[in-house]
Amino acid sequence: MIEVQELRKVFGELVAVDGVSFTVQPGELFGLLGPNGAGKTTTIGCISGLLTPTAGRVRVMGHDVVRDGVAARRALGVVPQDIALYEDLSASENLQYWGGTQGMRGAELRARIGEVLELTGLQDRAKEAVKKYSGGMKRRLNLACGIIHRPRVLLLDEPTVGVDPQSRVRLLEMVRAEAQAGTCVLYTTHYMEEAETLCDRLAIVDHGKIIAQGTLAELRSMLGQRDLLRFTGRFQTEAVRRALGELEGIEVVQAEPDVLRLAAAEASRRLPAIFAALASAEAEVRETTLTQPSLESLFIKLTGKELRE
Amino acid sequence: MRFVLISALKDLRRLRRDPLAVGVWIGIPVIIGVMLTALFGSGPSPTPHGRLLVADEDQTAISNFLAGSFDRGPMAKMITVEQVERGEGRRRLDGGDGSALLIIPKGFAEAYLRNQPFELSLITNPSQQILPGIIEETLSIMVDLGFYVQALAGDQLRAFAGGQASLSDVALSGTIVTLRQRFNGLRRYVDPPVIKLKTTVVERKVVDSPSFAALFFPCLLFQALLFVTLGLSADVWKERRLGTLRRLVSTPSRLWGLLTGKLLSVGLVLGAVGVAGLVAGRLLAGLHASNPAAALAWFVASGAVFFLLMLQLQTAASNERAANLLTNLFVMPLMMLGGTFFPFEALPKHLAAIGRWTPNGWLLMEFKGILNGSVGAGRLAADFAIVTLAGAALLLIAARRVRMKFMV
Repeated sequence: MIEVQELRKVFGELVAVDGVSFTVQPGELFGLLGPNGAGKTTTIGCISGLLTPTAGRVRVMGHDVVRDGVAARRALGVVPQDIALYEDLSASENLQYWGGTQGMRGAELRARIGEVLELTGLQDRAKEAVKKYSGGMKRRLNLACGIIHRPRVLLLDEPTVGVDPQSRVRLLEMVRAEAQAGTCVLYTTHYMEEAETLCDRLAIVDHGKIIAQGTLAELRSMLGQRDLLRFTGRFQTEAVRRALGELEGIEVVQAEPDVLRLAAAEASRRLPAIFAALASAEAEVRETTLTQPSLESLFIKLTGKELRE
Repeated sequence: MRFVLISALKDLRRLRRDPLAVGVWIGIPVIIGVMLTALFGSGPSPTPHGRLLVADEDQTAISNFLAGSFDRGPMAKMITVEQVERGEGRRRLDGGDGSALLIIPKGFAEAYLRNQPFELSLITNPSQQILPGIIEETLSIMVDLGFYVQALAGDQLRAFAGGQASLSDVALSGTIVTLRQRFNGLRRYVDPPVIKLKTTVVERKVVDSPSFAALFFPCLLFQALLFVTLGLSADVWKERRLGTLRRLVSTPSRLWGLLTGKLLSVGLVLGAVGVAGLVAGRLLAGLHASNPAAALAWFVASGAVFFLLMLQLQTAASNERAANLLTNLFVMPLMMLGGTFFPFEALPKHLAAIGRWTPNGWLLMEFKGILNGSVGAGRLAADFAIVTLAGAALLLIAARRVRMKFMV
């Protein structure tokens, strides 16, 4: 299991991770969801031993990653965000090397290489140099190198970035299979759909802090089943707030001169009243978007911005 | 230890996939070697050989004897005698073809037998210095010898010359008896000689002048060593770019294992280069290695130290391009000065003196010493100890720098 307690990592004056705590159990698929620069990769770096935490404690299968790093890393499999492979070697040779770094050898290693190649669908091109592979194939091999030694804890840092839909489906299936096999999986992403379909539990991260944590159902309940309305145009923020404040059950999530976000139950039925209020506040609406309750809308509600902004 | 082997195997496999790079590292010194051998030849330096043009206008037995004296014994190894006409001989000598022209005018034998003054002409080639001198000295000795023979047995020689065909057995016997009496008469002066000549034969020190190729071969091997280590040390930047160094941190394997594996692969590559080089040197340039195993081990150890030295420079640079520039700026002057491009023997003395203190200069000097057997077992052990200590220190520094700079 992974235990992260009050983890803090500072680079100069930049606080990349600020008091992050979570626990991931064996067989659980835990997602760290947040925009780029939120601190997800830094958190993974601290768990994998690449970075030394400024404060806090990280334990992998009971081993402190700082004091007992080698033992912790024996249990770890890491799939980095950037593909980290020897491009002039073949898939088999890469797997042989990365398996070797984990102490695997001989017949066991050879058998496992065969399994993993089949799992990733790369067996037909196993002898070919990796530099000839497509981006999706490289991503699959990148994951294969992280699971070659059957790690008890698997860290995946945005493993589907820039991957074609087919490869993405395959990758997600592989991750799910690992968790079902009892591996403790920590998965970072900024793709809401991936997090929603894949993860058992989630932590939403922004500016180095966890702003919400729980199962998908728990997180959705934080929204109160309310829809999210987004207007673009020209708004006098104070006048808009006053006008909308007179309507019952409507929460102003964000009010900017060019963007307005509202949370409301059954928003589609209340649109005429909302437009009337905006008209009374002399607002000029150019575009309206209605979003059903989702992680995206929760993120917007919690941070006041979209995940990809 | 197992990871060291895995790492070395991985690097060798990667190297096998990049034959062009290996070809360039090895090919440059090979091309230079081939060019130098073509220019200066691969065999040992030949003995100087001259050509004496003889215009024998007398055409007698005595004139033939004089001209032929250059064509016999040790002189024959140095000088070839060629009979020519006077005019042709002069033309050829003026054109630089020949070491000297000896003109024996008509009437030479007659004048010699009658003990009359006579003049021989020797015209020498001013563009040659040694061989015309040898010819002149030899001719001078021959003329002196002729004078003494004339003084001792002039009458008999004249008798021979005057009636060779009609000389009876009795007359011939009488002539020989007379000659014997003359020589016996000289015995009191000669035997025992009044003046004794004590000749001390100084043992000739055989100094085989090495061929140009043999002189250059160790340098070419070290050129290959520098190119190979330069190229392989740059791999640390490639590994950084690939992200494999960072990925390694998340495994239980250690960085020193990776670097030692790289060192091992460098050693194996240089071992192969060294074996090929020594064999080629032996076959093509007559390069003699008195202790080939020690020479090979020294070559590999030198390469390992140089690889680690290059690694320091690679890690000192801020980016890959700067590292490339920095290492080249380091290697090229060292190559020129350290006896690797031009042998120390071809460098001005003051530059050679500086060059011997450069890392590659010292390593090359010892390599040559091991090849020619001038480095004894004690010095060899001390040399290996120095190289091992330097290598260990450089490995520790390199591991620290790679960890600090390339793995965070």
